[in-house]
Amino acid sequence: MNTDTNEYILQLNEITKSFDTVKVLKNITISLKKGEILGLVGENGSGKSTLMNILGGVYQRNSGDIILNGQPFEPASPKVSQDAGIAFVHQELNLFTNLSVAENLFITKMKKDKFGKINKKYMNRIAKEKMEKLGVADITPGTIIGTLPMGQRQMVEITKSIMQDAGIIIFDEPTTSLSNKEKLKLFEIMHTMKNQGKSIIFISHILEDVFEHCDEIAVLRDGEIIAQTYTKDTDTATVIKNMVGRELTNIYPVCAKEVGSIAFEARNICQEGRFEDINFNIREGEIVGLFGLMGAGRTELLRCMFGLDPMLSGEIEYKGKRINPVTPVNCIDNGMAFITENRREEGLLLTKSIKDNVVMADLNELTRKLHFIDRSAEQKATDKMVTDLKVKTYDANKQNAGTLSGGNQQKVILAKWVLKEPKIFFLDEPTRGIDVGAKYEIYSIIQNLAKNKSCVLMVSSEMEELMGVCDRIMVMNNNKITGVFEKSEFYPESLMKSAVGGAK
Amino acid sequence: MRYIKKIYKSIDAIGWFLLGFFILALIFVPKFSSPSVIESVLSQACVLMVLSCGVHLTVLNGGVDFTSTALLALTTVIGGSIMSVKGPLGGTGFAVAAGCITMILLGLLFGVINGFSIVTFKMPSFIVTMATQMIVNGLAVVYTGGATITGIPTGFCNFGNKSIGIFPLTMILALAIGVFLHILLSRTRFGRQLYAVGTNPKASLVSGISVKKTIFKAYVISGICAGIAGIIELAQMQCGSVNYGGTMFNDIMGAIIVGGTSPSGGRGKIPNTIMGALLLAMISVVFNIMNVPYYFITLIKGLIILIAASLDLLNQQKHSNK
Repeated sequence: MNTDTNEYILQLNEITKSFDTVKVLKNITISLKKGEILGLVGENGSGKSTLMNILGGVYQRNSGDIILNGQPFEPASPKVSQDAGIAFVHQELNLFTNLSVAENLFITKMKKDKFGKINKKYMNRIAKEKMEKLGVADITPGTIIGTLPMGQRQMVEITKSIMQDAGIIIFDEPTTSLSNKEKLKLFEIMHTMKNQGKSIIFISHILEDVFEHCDEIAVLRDGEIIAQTYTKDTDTATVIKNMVGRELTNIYPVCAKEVGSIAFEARNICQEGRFEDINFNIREGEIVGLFGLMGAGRTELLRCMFGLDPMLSGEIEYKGKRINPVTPVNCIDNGMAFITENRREEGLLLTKSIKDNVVMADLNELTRKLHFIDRSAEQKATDKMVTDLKVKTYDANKQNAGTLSGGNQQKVILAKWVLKEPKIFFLDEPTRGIDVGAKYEIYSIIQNLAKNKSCVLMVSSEMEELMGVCDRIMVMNNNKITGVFEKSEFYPESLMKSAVGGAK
Repeated sequence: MRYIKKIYKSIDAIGWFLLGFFILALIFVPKFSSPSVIESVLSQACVLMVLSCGVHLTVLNGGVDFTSTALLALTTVIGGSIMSVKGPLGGTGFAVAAGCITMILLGLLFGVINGFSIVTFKMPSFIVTMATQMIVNGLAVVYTGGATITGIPTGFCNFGNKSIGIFPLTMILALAIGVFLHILLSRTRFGRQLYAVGTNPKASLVSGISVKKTIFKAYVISGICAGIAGIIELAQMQCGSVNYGGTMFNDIMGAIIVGGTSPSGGRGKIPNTIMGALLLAMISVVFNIMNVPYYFITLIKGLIILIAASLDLLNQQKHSNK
């Protein structure tokens, strides 16, 4: 690495950051040259967002130096960073959809005329100038944001970032919601900015894009920078290896079970603007993992097949019987179960007792004459589930689900479905935010489901966990299945290669 | 002894509040202790109780039903003119039966309209029911031209004015409705689903509960209750009028809120709403006896509702912070 500090616009030296006792960033050292695009890659949870939030003044670092333009820099608040010329383009757009393009661009500094009235003419003119500078003159400053397609909104967001003459622009996964054509336009703008002498940090999960557009690539893994190299000096294989190269440390329950013949099939699943022709199957008693990086479309695929999001065309079938229509009620009637990643919002009745939560999906089975609930059967079922799944509670009839720990909350959700004995389980990030001990118990529950001949499809961002639990892993990238791996083919490098868009 | 302890524990704040107010009234308002006054409290609470229990279901669902007070008026004028001795059926027993059935069906009809609009067009319930409230009010005025419907058969009016001991007959009907709804909510599948949907519609949908059907049913039941309340009102007042229920909506929401039902849905018991209705009826009667002016009574009721609602909110925050 070149030590001549003059050509660097930004240098981070030995940055560390801990949340409570967890070290999320360990001695991060990276540098950004003037007029350069730096790609920042790493798995979910490797610390990219934390690092950028420190730079943006959202979090405060524990130690380390930041040098901006050769001077020490202290990003004490988002405003300080902004004024120092660091701008963000976020994945989720922060635009006011009910205001015009120009109003959004001037949102913090509306130009007023001498009577205190907002000077629209002036704002529109400057907005036009700024957008022309980026080569996006086709957007009229007076247009209301809500009427623009996603791609053009992204352009407005980028224009917003240069309103304050930022020298450093951070793009945080800007392409996730864009079409291919819009993506090309975005990269064109990035290069335009680069040629105007601005420096860019580009965070992306799509390695192909990173290799094509970045001058340097930095790889982050478990809060450490593994390598920062010139793009020309490295290749995809090395970057992937750097992203995943860690030992398997967790222990997974072993459970003797038989995998039978194909039981669940999904054919030609299409969703407008997202999936085209997704096909896969699950065998009886098989646990299939669905790996992919953030925004690959895994959650969306599950939701689509459970009828929570619209399915344009395609069919799902269990043991030769087509499940139609695809609505949550009908899916459940046909033996499907879905554990959402959004535990608190879509999984639990937080203010209701554990009992209410456990029996919630099983009310039909507990109903007797005249629609009365069989209360002793209800109690028996709850007690059995609490014991079987080891839910830690003082009283399942009294304790609210919201007061349980994350792991126990997840167990309650699992109990809700295990009680119903469904044949097809969709699990979306079943162990997110759960401590190691509870994780092990949840893996055991999942293994037991498969042992009882259920089909399990499990989404996870933790590759290691999928390798430990699953019989087969499918990998998604950009809304497509890019690889299917049998147990004997589980290599972190090959999984990651599929996840970042390379062929198997 | 354990049984007594269990009952003691199951009484919520409103129960103690009602008991406390009752005792204070007995001590400080001498006239209040006569049986006829107690009887009049019970009789005045009937309509409010039935309406509140109906609306209770929609509030459990995180919504509200403004239509019920207007339905009260509409059903009394239409039901009244069917029953009336001046009507086509000449005030026979058959006419009374036909009148009652029509009133219940009218309530059901507008319940269906409300429920359908809310689940199909995903409109907020307060807009839908406010609109139907205006429509129902308008219909009642158009139907009567503002006139009062008289000539209600005496037999039917007796139902509204006779009592067994200090218990008005109408109170027995109102309590029967309350007990029925309480069992429906606490013991049946529909009840469980209504609480689940009110607490978290998203999670309910994912768990295979038909959210739309559940919401729809709540509004239909609320409509039917309004029809039944109309029957009671007609029997008690002995005439049908478009003016009934005009200011009653505040009392309905008041009864539900002081009963501890969460306005955001998912929590609240029918017995507490019934006690809430009793409390509000008692407040009216007690302050009337004390010759407190009407506007002052509304002021006191308003304060009580405000306090009850804030206490509930505090309680909820405590729950979510745990």
